[in-house]
Amino acid sequence: MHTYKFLFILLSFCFFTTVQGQLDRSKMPEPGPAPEVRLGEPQTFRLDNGLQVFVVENHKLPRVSFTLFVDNDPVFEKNKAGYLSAVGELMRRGTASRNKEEIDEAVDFIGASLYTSSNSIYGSCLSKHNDSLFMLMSEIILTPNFNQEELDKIKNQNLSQIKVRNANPNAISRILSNKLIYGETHPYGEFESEKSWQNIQLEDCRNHFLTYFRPSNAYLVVVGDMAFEEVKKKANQYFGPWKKKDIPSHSYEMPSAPDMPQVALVDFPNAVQSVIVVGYPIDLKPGAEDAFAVLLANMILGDGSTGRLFSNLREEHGWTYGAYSSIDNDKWVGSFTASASVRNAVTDSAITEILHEMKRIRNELITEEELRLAKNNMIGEFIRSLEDPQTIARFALRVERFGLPKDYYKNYLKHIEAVSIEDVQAAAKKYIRPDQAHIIVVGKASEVAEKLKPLGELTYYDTQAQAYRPDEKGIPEGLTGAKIIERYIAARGGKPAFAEIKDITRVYTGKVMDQDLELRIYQKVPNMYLQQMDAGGFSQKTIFDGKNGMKSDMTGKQALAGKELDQVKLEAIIMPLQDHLTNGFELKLMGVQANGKGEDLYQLEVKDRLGNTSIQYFEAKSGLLVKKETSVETPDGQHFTQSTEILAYQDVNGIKIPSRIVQTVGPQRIELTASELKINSGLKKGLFKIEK
Amino acid sequence: MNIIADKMKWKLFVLTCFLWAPAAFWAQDVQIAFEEYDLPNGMHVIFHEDHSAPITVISMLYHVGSKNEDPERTGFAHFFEHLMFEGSEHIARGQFDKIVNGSGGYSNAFTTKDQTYYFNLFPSNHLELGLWLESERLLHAKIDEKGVATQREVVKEERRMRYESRPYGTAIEELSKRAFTQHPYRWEPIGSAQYIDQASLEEFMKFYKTFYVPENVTMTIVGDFEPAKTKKLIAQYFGDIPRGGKTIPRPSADEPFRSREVRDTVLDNIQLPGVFMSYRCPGIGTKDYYALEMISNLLDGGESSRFSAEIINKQQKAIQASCFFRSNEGPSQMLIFTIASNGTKAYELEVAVNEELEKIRENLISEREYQKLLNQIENDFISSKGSLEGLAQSLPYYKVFMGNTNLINTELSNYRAVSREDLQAVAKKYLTRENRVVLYYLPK
Repeated sequence: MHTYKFLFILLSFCFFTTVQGQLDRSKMPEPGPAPEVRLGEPQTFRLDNGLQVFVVENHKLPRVSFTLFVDNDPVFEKNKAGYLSAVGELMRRGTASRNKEEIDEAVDFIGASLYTSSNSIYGSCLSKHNDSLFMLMSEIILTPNFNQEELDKIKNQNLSQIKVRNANPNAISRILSNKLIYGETHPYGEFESEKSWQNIQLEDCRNHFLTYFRPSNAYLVVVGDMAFEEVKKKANQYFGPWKKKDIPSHSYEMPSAPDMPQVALVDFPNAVQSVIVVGYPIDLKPGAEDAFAVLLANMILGDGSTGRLFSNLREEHGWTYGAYSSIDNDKWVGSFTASASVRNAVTDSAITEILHEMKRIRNELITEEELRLAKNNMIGEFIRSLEDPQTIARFALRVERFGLPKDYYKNYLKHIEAVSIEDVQAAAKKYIRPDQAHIIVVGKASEVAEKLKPLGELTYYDTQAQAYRPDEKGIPEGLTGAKIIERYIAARGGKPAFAEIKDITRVYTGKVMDQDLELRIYQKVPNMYLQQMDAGGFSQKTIFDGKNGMKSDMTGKQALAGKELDQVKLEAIIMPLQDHLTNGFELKLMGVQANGKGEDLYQLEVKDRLGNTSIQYFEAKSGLLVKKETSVETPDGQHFTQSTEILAYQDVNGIKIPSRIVQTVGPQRIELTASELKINSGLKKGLFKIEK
Repeated sequence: MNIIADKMKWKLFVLTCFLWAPAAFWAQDVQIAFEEYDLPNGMHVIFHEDHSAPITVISMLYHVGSKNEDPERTGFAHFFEHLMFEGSEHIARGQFDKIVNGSGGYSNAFTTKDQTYYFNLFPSNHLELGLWLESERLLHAKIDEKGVATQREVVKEERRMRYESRPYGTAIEELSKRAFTQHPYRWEPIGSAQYIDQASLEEFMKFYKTFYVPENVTMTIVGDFEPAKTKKLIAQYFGDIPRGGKTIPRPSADEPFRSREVRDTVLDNIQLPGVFMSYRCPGIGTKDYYALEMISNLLDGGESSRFSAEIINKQQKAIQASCFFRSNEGPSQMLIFTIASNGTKAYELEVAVNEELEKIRENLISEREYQKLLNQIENDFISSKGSLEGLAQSLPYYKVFMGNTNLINTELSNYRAVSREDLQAVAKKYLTRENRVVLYYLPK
């Protein structure tokens, strides 16, 4: 007896010391035998109206959840984007027998949760309350009562939410990414705006609900502490009366990736970080043959804290808190995205590294070791997901909805194990396309824009995901074309000073194609005009005496008629814009642009009474005309832009006259400098006489 | 690697029958069986078995947070948490997560004002690996200049991402620095970028030796494991890690209640005004604490709550009106975050919030609303037991901060003990103008 006891003590002591002695901390412990993975199956049944019910009984906790959703095709919201979201909100804001307050109170009183969307209802509660919640859900579906007052509230809330969104770089990145990745031909690319919310009518919401929220494509998933028989009884009771109806189906063209990298930039002038997304659409359906290979490729590239993107951008460079990529498979259109938020200074470097890692996983075979770890990670994710009883339901539902093989999830680990390093590379080559990506950056343009240009064609977008030219700005309130002209005249010297003008002489010299050029323009009130140009022995003259006009050069003389005559008639008036209304001008304020030197230019479209249109730019600060662009048509029908820039004005008798002018026509550039500018020098009428 | 701004809400409910129309409901509850013990070196261990899935969670709660920091080194505890993923004597730099993920596991961590919490979720055959990793972290973590330099930049990016780049993102910092004048709760765990740059390697080693010692950590194992075998493994991996032996410094600064309201305005890159408030409240575990938790639910628990029903839905003055009871080991904060709807001015929104608080101070809540609160708390409590990782957080939390692990089964009675009159009384006591900070966030 004693001996035995002693031996026991001795043995346990030995065991203790041996264990202590055995521990080698430098060795990573070996795992135990792999645990058995038990994958339950939900019980199912179908109601007569088509509603299919999945039940996962789990009595660990006394709670239950209900998910009901209608599996319809996505729909376009068009200029009413937001109405689907309004449908979801309206659903829990009124039934035939309860208003919003009553619904809210009923849900909260039993400590339940209830969420509705345009294609689903989710509720959860302690199982003792399951009847109340089940009943409320059926009430919402069977006796909806959408009302205007609630829609107005929803609209106001969402209009305010858009203002919050506008200030949030991540939210803006999301809507622009969707727009660019999925394009305008797929509902996934749509997003809400203030305008689209304003367009939403109650009828849109009601029609959508009555058309699409039907049982034929619907699933009800019940998970938790509720017996199968009880679910069956109550589902029949509460959802049996739900009427079926044919639901319209839709199809969409598969969005395509761009042919070459496209850079999209949204300017947040106060940003301290850039939100970067590299993305494009992919065609990867649930259950695709290479789905496991591409998911493993993505796991190595950018899933979680062991992906290459995280190692590179965060652990190697310290540029970001996190960098990740993801591959979404989808029945309609999937996507690849890589993303990170990085400080301004390293924005372009971070994108370059993201693209580099995308190229590397395509071009270089991964190692067997990398594949082993990625597989373990994926297997671990699968096993860990089984903690949640919802997982079994989710698997069963995917098998049903996407027509996957019945044993798809039973063989999940086998599918993972079957992937080779070559499979991963083949999938990477197919789905990871750094050369066909949208690169979306939301950040401080003044610090990042220039460095983004080498990465691809750069387009600016505003916070409503609309493209714009960065030198264009909004028109100040109350500003009109007439006001700009008024300020222009004042800046040139003012109406009274112009009224004093009897005649003007302007002589400019310059060079054209290495030849000296001289341009003389004489004007006398009310409307006499002479222009003479001499360049390299070539001479051209235009005269208008107030009634008739004549053009002459070395080849001869020609009386002006028709449009040419009208043209010179108009040019003969001193400052015709001064009386733009009586002279038959149409003015249209196009916008405001930055001139690149920190100053704003008002851009005005000026159409004269002959139908000639020019774009004229007036400096906001000085009011002066600084540039004029005209579209010129050559005799053979080609169009090109002729631009005249006024670099300087000179003051003559209180009137500002252009003293340095640059004219550009196609590749040709002529700079003219005033050599003689005179006002009221007493030009004689005879100067403008037309010699027959 | 996260910073959890508000305390996880552990809400319990006791098994008592109560009556209300139209039907009587029995209480439903789940008892969480656990065992706990101390190693000779002072490390506390808590076990809870659950074999329903082949998963095990191993968590380590270090009783150190931003409140243990030098005011000239704010952000230190959280920065340190990042460094704890860098490597150890036997784990090369950058391998920590690779080992975890490569074994099918997941690990992460967060730092609050009171604690630094690490957790690992593994398929259950990797239990020993998890113990090894955590013992490496506790026994001989390795911190080098390269790691410090890198994590310095990473943490500054985290700060930019979570605080500076988010509309209203700085509100919590701005509130706390006005809510407390003496207590180290006056700064947030993310700390200041300036101090993050200044922290030196020696300071990290000193911090490590002071706080990362067995007597300052609680290990919790939850899920699919065999306790007897696991105890032996724990003895092997942790038994010979020496005690720190020194007294662990805990801040003693208390924070007097204010006698005057503090008001300020912050300009931010936003389009809609925000009104944010902080009320100084007592620490966790007190009776008033339970009452204040319930008031936070009354204001912002579900669509029928006072804020949602009145300010958002009826008056339409806000698009967001939330209330968080941010409980701390020391003085807590009742935080109110509201964002005005388009066209509503900040002061109009403030008036609406003031009115709701006044109603609670002036009137007893109805029997039905009181019952609703208890029902919500019951639901939240039972649901919180639905995740292994959740249990791995709450069990040591009860132990370390409330001194009683079994509160996971009994805490509900503490809520039940709060009467309608108590709710009114705490509202009168704490939700007063003198006891608060009010911040207006206005567009720049």
